Amino acid sequence: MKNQKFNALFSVMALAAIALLLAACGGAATPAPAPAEKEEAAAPAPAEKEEAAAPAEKEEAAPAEEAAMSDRCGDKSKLSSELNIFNWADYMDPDIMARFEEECGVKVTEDIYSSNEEMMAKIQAGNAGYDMIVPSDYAVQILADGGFLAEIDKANIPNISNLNPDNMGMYFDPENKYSLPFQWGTTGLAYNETAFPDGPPDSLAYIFDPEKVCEHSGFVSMLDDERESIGAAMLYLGYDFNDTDPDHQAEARDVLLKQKDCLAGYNSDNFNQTLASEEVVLAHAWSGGAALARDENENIKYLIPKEGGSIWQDNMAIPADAPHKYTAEVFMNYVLDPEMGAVLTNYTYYFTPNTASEPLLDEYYHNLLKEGGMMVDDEIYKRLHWIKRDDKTIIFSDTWTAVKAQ
Amino acid sequence: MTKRQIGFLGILLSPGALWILLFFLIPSLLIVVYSFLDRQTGGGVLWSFSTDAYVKLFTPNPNSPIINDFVIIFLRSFWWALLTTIICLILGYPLAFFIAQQSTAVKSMLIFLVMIPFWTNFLVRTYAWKFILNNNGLLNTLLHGLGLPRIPIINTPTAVLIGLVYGSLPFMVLPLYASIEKFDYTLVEAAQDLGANYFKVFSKIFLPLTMPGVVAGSVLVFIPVVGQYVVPTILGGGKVAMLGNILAQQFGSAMNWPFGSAIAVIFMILLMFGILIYFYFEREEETV
Repeated sequence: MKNQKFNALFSVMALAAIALLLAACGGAATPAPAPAEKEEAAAPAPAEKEEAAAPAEKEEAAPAEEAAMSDRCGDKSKLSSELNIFNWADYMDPDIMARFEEECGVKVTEDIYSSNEEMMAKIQAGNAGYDMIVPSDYAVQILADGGFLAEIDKANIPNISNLNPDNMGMYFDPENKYSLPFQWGTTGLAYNETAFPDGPPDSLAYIFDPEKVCEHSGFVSMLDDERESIGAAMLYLGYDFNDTDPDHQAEARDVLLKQKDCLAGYNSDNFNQTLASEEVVLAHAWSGGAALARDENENIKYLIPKEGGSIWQDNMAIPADAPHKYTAEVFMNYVLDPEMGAVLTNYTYYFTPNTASEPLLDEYYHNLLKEGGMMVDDEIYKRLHWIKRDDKTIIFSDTWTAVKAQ
Repeated sequence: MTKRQIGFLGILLSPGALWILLFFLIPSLLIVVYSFLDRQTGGGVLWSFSTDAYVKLFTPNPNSPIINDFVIIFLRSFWWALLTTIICLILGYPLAFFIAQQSTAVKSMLIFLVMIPFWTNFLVRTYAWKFILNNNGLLNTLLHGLGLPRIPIINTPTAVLIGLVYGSLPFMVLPLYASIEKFDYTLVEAAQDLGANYFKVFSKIFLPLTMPGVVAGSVLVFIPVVGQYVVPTILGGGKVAMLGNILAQQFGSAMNWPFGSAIAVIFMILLMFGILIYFYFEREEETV
């Protein structure tokens, strides 16, 4: 009896070990799900995009090219031979890295993360070996407060003058001592025009009023993000986007629970795909993901609801223990070059903080975002809120747990 | 054993012991230590003693139907794991029995088929289920084509359960097969000669002697399922959380490492209890 049991357990353990080993090998090669907008930014661009871009780039960049080329590498004698950057998936056009290597002789290696928290955990542990990271707004603040970021030597980055003052001096780094803007975007509603014949769903009531959301029961998704989804519920209730008042949080939870039965689910990984394949017709969405969906399905549009939406900005920063700080600064300067800035944003479908790049953005990008409703004007800008984090905002996690528990 | 033999055994065992020390004991201890520290706002811990995490875990919430939201998620995880185990057992036992009855060549072939899914990453297979169960997926397209109504199954607990059972079934079938395969059928004849009917043969002879496989399979299915993360996210639409989801949340967006650690500690204690009970009954059985 005992022997048999032992044999059975043993053979199973051996089989299970082999199975787990196989699973682990497969697992290592598969990146963790990343925010969709970032994950999917590499979707092959239609050919017309390339064609539209090429002439525009050549005309505008040609006269300045000679002069620009010589500064773009800074003091070549001080450059290291390699540079390690840590970035969101598909958030850096490989072309930029290849051209930097060709021009300046620095081999750029990119590692990928799928959330600010994942990146911060590595940076906070120290000696991660990265020279440049791309933290979002609140993550810059957390890292800077903890002393994990190096002060940027702006003398090495003359292209700072290309940056839009609107994207500088933000709450998370008022003097831009530690960070420079990389890309920015908004959070709003993406919808399939054919499902809303009576006009666009321009209010948060379309996702939070049970009657309205249940008209499209099973075809509406929310971002799986405690700050964005609870924040939207706060705006719907007329409260502040970052409200931490326990009573208001309880109200927000009730609003989220009431909508839940009619939701397809919470999805921030690939809502662009579910929108494009019409598995959902209305999604709480990031602007870049919505643009990617529209790239595949032209019925998809995007808007910032009248109650408001949110805005965020990803930034370039240098870890305090970066091995190649000077080279990182030169690379930042390279990314902030007008031409490279345009290459980057044509690739990501986000918004560029680089004013000098704006005229170089290709026509395909402009049409996609303008007709899709992603563009931000002054009127829309007023309705956008920044996510703020402090010691009290942990209540958002508990409210989110309550929403997920029931 | 001579001294030399003991020394030799020590050398043989040391890689395994070192592995357990480095990759199991030290990390587990670290989790226990973290669970008694203070939370740092930006993730990580402050090195000061605190029981906040455990207080939070056990503080009743008047808005919650059962004690608090964390307890609900614990209960749900254990309940779903139990359901998965039972369904796997019901599906797996006849299958393992069937496989064990075949000729050697067919047996190897069938066991090979049971293991084939492991060649593909679990995440990919779970996404495949999503394509099957989607509103516009394979199943609903088929139903629609046959003139039947579509069934909204994706993003429901049913879809989660399907995914869990699918992913766990091989872990049940393989140990069951190992047990059943060794079963001595002369015992069945002996029992029938002594007048036992089919039911008695099964309940008094067959089931007790294959019990080790049942227990091993159940443990292998139950434990990983309790901490599931992928299936509720992909097939459940992230609407209802299991333990894996709440752990990911606490170490991720909530940046509350002590609380995440406390959840993991309680989880480990509960599982350890389960395994101790199992050993206790095993001993009882042997002394009888």
